[in-house]
Amino acid sequence: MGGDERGNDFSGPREDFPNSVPVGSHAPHAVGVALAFRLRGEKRVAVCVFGDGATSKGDVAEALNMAGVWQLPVVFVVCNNGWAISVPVGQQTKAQTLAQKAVAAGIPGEQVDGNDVIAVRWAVERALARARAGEGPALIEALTYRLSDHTTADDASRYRDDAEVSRHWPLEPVLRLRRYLTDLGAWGKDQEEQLLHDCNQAVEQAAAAYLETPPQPPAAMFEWTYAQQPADLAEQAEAANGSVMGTP
Amino acid sequence: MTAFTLPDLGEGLPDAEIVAWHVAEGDHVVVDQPLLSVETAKAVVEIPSPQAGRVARILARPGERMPVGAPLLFFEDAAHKDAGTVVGKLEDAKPPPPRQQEPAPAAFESRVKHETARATPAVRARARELGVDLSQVTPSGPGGSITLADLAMRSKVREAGELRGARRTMALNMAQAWREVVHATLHDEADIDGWQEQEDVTVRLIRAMVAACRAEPRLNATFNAASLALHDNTCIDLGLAIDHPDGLFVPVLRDAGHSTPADWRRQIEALKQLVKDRSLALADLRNPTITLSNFGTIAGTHAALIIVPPQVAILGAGRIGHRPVQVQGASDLQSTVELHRALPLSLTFDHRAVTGGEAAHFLHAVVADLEQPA
Amino acid sequence: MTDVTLVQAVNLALRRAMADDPRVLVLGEDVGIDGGVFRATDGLYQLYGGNRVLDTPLAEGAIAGVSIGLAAQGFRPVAEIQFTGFAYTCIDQLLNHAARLRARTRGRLTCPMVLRSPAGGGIHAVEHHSESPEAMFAHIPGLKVVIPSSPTRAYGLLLAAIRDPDPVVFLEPTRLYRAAREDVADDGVELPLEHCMVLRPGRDVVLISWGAMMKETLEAAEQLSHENIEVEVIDVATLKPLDTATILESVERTGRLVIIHEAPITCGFGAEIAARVAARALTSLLAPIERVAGYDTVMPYPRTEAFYMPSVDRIIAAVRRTMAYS
Repeated sequence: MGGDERGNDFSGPREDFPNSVPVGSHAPHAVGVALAFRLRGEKRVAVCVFGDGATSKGDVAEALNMAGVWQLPVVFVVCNNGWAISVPVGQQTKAQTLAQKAVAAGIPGEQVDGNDVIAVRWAVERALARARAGEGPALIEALTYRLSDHTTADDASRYRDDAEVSRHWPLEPVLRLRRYLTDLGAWGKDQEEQLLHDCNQAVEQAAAAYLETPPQPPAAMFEWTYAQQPADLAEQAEAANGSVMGTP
Repeated sequence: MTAFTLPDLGEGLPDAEIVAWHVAEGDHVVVDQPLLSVETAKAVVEIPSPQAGRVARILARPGERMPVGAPLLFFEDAAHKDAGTVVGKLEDAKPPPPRQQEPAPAAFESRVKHETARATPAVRARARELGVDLSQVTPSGPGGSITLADLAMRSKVREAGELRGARRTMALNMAQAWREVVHATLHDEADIDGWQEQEDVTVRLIRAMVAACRAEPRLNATFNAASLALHDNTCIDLGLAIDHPDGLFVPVLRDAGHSTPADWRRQIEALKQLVKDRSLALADLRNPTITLSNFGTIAGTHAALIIVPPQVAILGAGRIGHRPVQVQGASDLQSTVELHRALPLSLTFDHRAVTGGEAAHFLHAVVADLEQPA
Repeated sequence: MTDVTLVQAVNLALRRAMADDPRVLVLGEDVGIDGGVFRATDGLYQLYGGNRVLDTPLAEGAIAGVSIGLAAQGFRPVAEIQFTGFAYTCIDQLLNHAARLRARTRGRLTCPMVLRSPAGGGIHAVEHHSESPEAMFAHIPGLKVVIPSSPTRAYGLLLAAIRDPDPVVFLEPTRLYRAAREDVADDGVELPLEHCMVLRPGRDVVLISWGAMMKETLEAAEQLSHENIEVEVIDVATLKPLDTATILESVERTGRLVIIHEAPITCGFGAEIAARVAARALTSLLAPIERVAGYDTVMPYPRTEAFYMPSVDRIIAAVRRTMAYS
């Protein structure tokens, strides 16, 4: 994810897709990308991440199925944080796990402790290696818990018990990793301070840079709609910019 | 609002520096949720929330050194206002205006009666060009709308516009006829002095043409110039030229040879009305085999008229007038000159298909029939 | 030159595109070994194999979604949806993703895909097989919508669609698949998109249509010419982006407009054309704009189908109504 008012043009890997707002609708895109890798003989893998709610979508089922029947190099990672806004996963599906939806698609599925950074990394690496080796797709269900509200406008206390959330805070992954590294002697106060400082600064700088971005003229809306702007759209752009009075 | 204060961190320290906040104003927090990280001598410590609630205000910034017990943030006391959405921001309705005396109507009915003339935009534009007041124009279009033709009638300016409709057809047909047909004309006159009063001239002309077609069918033929095929027609479909302000129309009396004079008169009246109403059907105009032009009802005696192929002849009847004729007496010496009523005739024929002799025979038969008293 | 039907012209264009550009792929249900239920992709699998001609599982949404992934990676996928009745599930992928991928990523990712599907009725088919959804697709910003009406135009326009850098929905008139037949030069030359085609010049009225209805429209024009009514006929061909200039020029000359389409009249694409003409050529109009279209009902069953489809008589009646003004 990334970008600003001008669009999703982030600094990361140039072939990554922007976030998919219609839940789960990006799963078939990952299948298409994996197919492209295979057709070109590239040892690359497409990774597709979605939440527990997405596993109820037809798009996801179709994508798992196609990935399976064509044995494509795509790894699906389900971030099961227990909640799809106000719907707990127990009301999302009767399936005992989300990983077992892989069975319907004929592909391997496994669960991993989603709050364990090292375990997640290990599970995904293994799946990526298999996919690169031509052994096909996989579904990884990372079990975790949504500690915050769905968005800052959401008020989760309307549908779930604050006490339940409190019980999950000790399992928070960064907290656990910090404790683990500190116990190993691999992390300390200075590093913590530096990391917090650096993160703060990065966020502040990014926010400042965004606020300094000059406002776009109305015609900017029209750029990038097509490779070459059609005549009727060009007229609309002119009218929007106020150069031409009246409606197109 | 309830304050959250910096707790005693247990190292006997009076204060601590704030390194980072982990929540923001407006956030919903729960018990044990990390609120901020502070620095002590030995460590950077996360401080959990002692309560659930919503952060109203944050009172200290990273880098600030706060004494133990100092308020760091305020929790909201009152119940949090429901945003009523998960994304975006929904505006609240403005408070309603003070109650009026009468409730406002749900919708306003238009009380303005539509008084203006009905005309399509192109007609309106044309009216403006011509300086015509639409309210003064009599509409003849659908739904009582004013047409361009209505404007033209009204307009004082002669429109030098492009030909349309019947005039256009005439221009095209006549040009083609002139190019293709080899026109030759015979003139003659019929002595109609023996006619009764109130003789129907057109009907007599038609009768004469029918008789002549029987006597000389060649003038009722169809000539295909491309294939040089000449086909005599037994059926006489007689085209009758009728003048109209919109142009020339030639409706057809079908199978004239098998109708009575009363039929012809009835059909003529019907066709004239159709022309007047501009509601002639295509079927009424198709394929005449020979044409009559009674231009003499207006003016002119003789004329060389234009034949529209694939016809091969057209008869023109001029204005009836008086001619001096020699009337034979018992002997030459007793011949006198009288003034007799005469009907001038012009027979134009297509010399590619018809000989002079055939034309002359035809014309002779026409004259003979016309010269009968009844 | 070969004498081919419309569906054979589609096949020729696909062969040509695949031969010229190794990035072009074909995917869909039954398009491979079977050559497509209408034989549009006949022979392609035998020529290019399963790596370029892919038989997919039965999942239209995924067919569109996978095409998006392929296109973003630089391929030129040509996806077939077996009938437009099944294409509605693709609208989510087309509208939410394909049509806005370029804009969302500021050109970093693009989506040069074609989604082609047989459309329209008059084929006495079972339910859901006679859809005309072009207005729904034309409403989507960032998408292009193309509808051929003859074998020659199917060939040239499909090549243009495949070569276009943006996503194109290509709706092929099922009724003309085998009924339309003409000589098509397999010369690899595309026809321009965003270009309305004047199939017949005229002075008195302009008839505008697209797809299978061009047949009835041209017939009506021919019949009317015997009454000395000169009818101009325009094939829109590319509904989006629309070549408004050609349409306006015709209306300014003739003053009378009749739009014909098979899709239901309310919110059909004819409404867009009518609105643009009313906005830009109002003072040229001698008569109200007429639309001869399908009714606001589902396409009826085969025996009643003829009452629904806009007929030559209905078109002629509409022309006469416009001619009654001035």
